[in-house]
Amino acid sequence: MIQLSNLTKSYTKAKKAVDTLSLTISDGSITAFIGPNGAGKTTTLKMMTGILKPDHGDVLINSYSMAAQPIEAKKQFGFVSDNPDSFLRLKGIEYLHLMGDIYEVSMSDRLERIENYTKRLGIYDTLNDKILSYSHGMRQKIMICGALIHQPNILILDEPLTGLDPQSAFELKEIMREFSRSGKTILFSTHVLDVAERLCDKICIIHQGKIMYDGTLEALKEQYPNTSLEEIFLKVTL
Amino acid sequence: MKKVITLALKLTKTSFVLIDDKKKASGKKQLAFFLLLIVLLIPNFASFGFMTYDMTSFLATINQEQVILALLLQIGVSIIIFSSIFMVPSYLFYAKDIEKLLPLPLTKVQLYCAKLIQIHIYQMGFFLLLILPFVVGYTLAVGFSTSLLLLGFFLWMNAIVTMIATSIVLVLIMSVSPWFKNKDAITLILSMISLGFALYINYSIGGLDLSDPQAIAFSLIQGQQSLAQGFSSFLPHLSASVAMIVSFNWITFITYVVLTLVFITGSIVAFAPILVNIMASFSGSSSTKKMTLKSLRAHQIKPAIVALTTKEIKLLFRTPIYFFNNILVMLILPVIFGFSFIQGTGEEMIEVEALTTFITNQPLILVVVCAGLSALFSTINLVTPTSISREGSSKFHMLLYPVEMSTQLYAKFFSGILVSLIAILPLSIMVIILNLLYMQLGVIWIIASLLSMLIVMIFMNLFGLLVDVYHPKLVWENEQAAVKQNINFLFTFLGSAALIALMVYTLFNLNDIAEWMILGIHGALLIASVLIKRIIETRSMDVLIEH
Repeated sequence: MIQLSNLTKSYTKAKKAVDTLSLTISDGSITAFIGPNGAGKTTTLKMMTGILKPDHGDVLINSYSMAAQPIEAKKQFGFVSDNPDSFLRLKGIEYLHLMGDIYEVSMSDRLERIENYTKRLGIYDTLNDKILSYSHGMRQKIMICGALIHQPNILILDEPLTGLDPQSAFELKEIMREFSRSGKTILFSTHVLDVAERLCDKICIIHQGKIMYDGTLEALKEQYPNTSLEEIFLKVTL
Repeated sequence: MKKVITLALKLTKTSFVLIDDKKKASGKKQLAFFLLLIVLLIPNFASFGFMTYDMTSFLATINQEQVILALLLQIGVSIIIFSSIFMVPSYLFYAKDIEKLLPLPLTKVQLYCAKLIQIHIYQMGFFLLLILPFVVGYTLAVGFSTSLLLLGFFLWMNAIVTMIATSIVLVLIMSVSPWFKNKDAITLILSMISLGFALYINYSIGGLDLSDPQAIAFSLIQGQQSLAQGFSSFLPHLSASVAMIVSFNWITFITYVVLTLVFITGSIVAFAPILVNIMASFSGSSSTKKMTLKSLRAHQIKPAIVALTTKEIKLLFRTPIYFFNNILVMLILPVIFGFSFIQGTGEEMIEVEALTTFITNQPLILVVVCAGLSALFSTINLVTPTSISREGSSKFHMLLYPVEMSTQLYAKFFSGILVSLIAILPLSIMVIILNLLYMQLGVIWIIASLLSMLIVMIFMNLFGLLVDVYHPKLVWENEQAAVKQNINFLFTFLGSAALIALMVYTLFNLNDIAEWMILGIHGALLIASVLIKRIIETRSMDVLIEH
């Protein structure tokens, strides 16, 4: 479970990027974090994962406070950033083993997971190549595999489908569903409302650093009958 | 043609960067940086200019001033070749703008020509900057002459021919083996070649008294100077150009011009299609062997600190910019020292003997020398003062890992120690050998010297790390900026210089208490190291999260 309480972050004095945001994401759910550009999605995800320090408020990841118990909190989740251009001169396999070492994954578990996820995402044969030679989509895939190597209870993804080919996007969505079915939590930000509509149990609309809606898609549609998610999104964020 | 020139000028303008910064440094900032560079270069330029002036004036008294022009031609063409092997691959094959150019409605010849003009503008700018002081020195000594015009013309033609020839040679190599499309590998190989070339030049001019223009002039006239011979052996085709400068002949000149133009036109038309196809097929890195179960299992579980240190070392060795600035500098110093000895006259050995006798009389000097060299070697590799900077936009991974920040920073510290040891370890061995052969000091002094090196190495690496934790340069697009345009080097270098100065002052000015003072300085370094360690353990996470 992820609990955000009164999370606030300002980059300038004039404007708050995230403004006293409170949110609870329950176990076993897939939640989409949607909002226009500059709404505060990435800032919230960064505070959630310990990359940014909130001005106020705290984040609890499976009851571990990011402020007080950061190491335990960070062990609970895997995070995929929207920027996969990291460790470019490591080979794919070296990167995955590095993640395995950092998250203290046993050799048998990591080999099984590397084989499983890289084959499903179609990058197994390129694992001996440096990440530098990968396309944007392949880099995204290796980062996803790295985030999954310790089988976290929570998966947090920032725009995970960007740059993925249809086959890999399908596989990633399948992996996300499997995760959810096994009682694990997934939170991802996206601009693709269609994906959010088809994949998620819950939707969180953020605008100007505040949560505008937090609930199921069905409940949202009840509020706005005979309206597409796209139209609802535009109404809520205007 | 107008289309090609417009495109070439746009390419030149958009790719010209003095300060690499994602926020794009302003025109004024770039100009200020350029002016600063010029100001810093003035002393060197002035000395080259005056040296050329003196040599030319002397040679003019015996009607031999054109020897200078011949030598300038040889040096100029060498610079052109030297810059071509770097610029051609960078701008023709590895440039980021290639993907944007290929879809444009341009013929392959137009595209190739636009790129060639872009490279040529850069090359000539770089070249003119280097050659200018020599030309000014020559002109001031004997005035402007047609020979000087001829020199300029030959250099210009040579620049174009060399650039085209380099691109063709590279394309032919790349056609034979896709391995050569690996940018990192090519950069490394080319850099090693140019390094070898630089060492050769260093070796060639060794022993020549540069402060005596008459001696240089005599060496040139006699044709026995290894530098001149070296250039000729590298560039045998230059003989015709040199002969024309010294003794002009219209028939030879016209033949030269016609042949050059035929080569340029013919090469562009013949090779443009192949070159553009190669440009379009670039992936930036070659594919290696296929994944097998065996290679999947060929890893052992490592503790986080070992895994992170290994990662640091791998990235330092595999990233060409880091390899050259952080690693190779540690290997090259002994090579340069070695060259000085190989070409030496034997006086160096006398100096070593004199020094060892001096040290035998005052063993504390050995401790200070070892400490100073350790400070220098630990600073010059730039590993820890750029360790956070090198993360750039990937710094967020450090904040994400469920590993204490201090552990992650210690991994960076250990990588700095390992790189420092590349030079400090041989130095330690040398101290032991020199002691056995010459100094024959008590064991206590050798242990003190080795301990001193260790303490200074630990302190300098921790200090560099601390500087980068508080002042990282994280915003960059090119890895070069993380290392070469990083002011952290200055901070650590000043720290290192201050430490050396303090020890040397103590050694020579506080005779009675020098030993205790040097001991005290080492104690202070140890205490400072413990304090830095404490800061890293308690403050680093908070500091890094704020950047």
